[in-house]
Amino acid sequence: MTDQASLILEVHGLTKTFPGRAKPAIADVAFNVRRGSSLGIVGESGSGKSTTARCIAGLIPADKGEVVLDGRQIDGLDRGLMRQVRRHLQMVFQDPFSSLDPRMTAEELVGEGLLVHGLAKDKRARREAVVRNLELVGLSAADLERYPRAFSGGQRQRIAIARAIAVRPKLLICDEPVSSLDVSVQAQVLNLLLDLKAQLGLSILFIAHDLAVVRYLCEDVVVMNEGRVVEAGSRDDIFDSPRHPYTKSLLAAVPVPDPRMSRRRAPLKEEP
Amino acid sequence: MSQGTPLGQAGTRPGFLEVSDLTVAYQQRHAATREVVHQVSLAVQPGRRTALVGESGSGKSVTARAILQLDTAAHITGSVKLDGQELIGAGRKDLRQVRGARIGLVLQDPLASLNPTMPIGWQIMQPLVIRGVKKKAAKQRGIDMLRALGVADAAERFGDFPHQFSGGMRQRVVIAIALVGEPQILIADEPTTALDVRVQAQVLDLLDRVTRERDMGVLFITHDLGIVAGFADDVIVMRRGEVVERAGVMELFSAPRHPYTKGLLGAVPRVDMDPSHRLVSVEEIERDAAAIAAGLAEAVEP
Ligand SMILES: Nc1ncnc2c1ncn2[C@@H]1O[C@H](COP(=O)(O)OP(=O)(O)OP(=O)(O)O)[C@@H](O)[C@H]1O
Ligand SMILES: Nc1ncnc2c1ncn2[C@@H]1O[C@H](COP(=O)(O)OP(=O)(O)OP(=O)(O)O)[C@@H](O)[C@H]1O
Ligand SMILES: [Mg+2]
Ligand SMILES: [Mg+2]
Repeated sequence: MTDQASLILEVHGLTKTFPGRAKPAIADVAFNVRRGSSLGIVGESGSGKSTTARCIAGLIPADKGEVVLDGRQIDGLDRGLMRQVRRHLQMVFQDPFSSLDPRMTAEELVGEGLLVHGLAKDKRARREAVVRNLELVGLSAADLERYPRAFSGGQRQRIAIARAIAVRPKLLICDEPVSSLDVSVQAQVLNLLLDLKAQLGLSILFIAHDLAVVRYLCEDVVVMNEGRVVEAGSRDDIFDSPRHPYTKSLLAAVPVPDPRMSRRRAPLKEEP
Repeated sequence: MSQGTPLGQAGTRPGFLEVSDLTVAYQQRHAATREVVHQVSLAVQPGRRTALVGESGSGKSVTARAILQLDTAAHITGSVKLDGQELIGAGRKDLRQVRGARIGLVLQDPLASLNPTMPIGWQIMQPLVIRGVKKKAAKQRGIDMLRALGVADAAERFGDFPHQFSGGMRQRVVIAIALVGEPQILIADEPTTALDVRVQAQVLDLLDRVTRERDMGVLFITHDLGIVAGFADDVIVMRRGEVVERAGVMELFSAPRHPYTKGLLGAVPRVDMDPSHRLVSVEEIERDAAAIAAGLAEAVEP
């Protein structure tokens, strides 16, 4: 199950200390993503999830460690080589607002990868591909010429997802991709990711703080705390018999959508 | 739009915000103006939390921004009254006095509402410094606020720049900026999306305490029905720019009236749910009227 060919991503001993910091942001982070599967990273705010993702994607250099994508070592590649790798490793950033260039239309944003990697034979083919991808995330051809500022928060997040999946990468790294989506669109995007996995064999590294979402999407789960992996296992291991106290506390704190069970305070003095 | 509103009367306590028939349109480049919010009415009362929920693109953020007229490109009609003072059409100076000081605002986009070139501590202190609070005291209050929001090493990290903070830490900086000036009303647009459940609980507890101690009114925009259930007193559901349902929180969860509200409740993934069940999106639900009749809790099966 863990022979090389079955792994799309191997991460070994990833370590990063930011300048001027005493403690490392991540230390000795290691895990594998199985081909065609999705692995969720959960952990508290500031535990190093985004830093891990950014080191894997080569957006910041790690101090130590190795990243192997589909059998090829990709840490330390120069820009040109990394650009080629990018086609196979796409990332949806935690901050969809600032990751979209405000001067580009939705069509340009989603079509950029197709253009850069020569994946559509002409402008028309590209536009058709863009529309298909927009429709996959619940947007439409009517949105092609609009700029990021004219979209709502969830719509921008969906443009970022459409942009990443348009080039049909082998590995998709999603950093909190559904956190600002309402439940309905979230359900649609999660189902889309499941379908892409099933139909195209897409592998996913999925960072989220919403445990219900991770449980729905990911077969494997890594739990991070203070820059380190404190627990890793299959979905069932983690959700049915969490071992680390941090994992247990996370599971215990999930709000339940039922006001009778989850009122956190005394009723108001004057109910209407 | 003629549902009975649980709004009550404009009380005598300060901090009563009344929005009536708010309509917002944007000029489009090659087309007619596009109306994205239509005749929305709502009230925020001292000490009460109103949740604004609704699908992506339904007009929640546009409504929040229009209340303080943050978008110069928006055509806004209707009325927004703060303790009887009309804000629509008010002068820049009057609006500046309301923003931040009387109405604290947490925008949906934490990174864009922070200045990348200034330390976060400086940004948190500004609302106090402007009002003449001494630097040292302002700094202490800023650090205390960050700490109360669960930011580790708040004092040591007060001089960091926004890019040195994680997503969830930045979101709490924005909340700190909104709260530190002790506003009468807080408008918070998806303020906890980047926070894990434990930090989220801490932030909500703080908001809870502040609302009660200072009688602060809250307009809380969220898509998280778990938060709505635990935090809100009243719920307003928007769809396609209009209010489609308003109710007390107990009523909404036990007897949602609008099919869209029912749909929202059915699309929530839950930790206690079997992962082989497929979530149902609202569109799927609306297509399938039978599912609505059957009750959505049971209809989550594929
Ligand atoms: N460019 C940077 N310079 C200095 N410190 C940084 C930088 N980027 C991140 N950090 C710090 O590294 C730690 C880990 O941050 P990271 O963004 O990886 O956390 P995270 O797990 O993604 O948290 P969140 O859930 O809040 O997004 C934090 O303490 C953060 O402040
Ligand atoms: N500056 C703008 N110019 C034109 N249209 C806009 C502008 N801002 C928002 N819109 C449109 O107005 C509608 C409502 O947007 P709004 O941001 O209020 O949605 P929302 O309910 O906050 O959604 P989300 O949950 O995704 O944040 C959307 O269809 C959006 O595309
Ligand atoms: Mg992060
Ligand atoms: Mg919004």
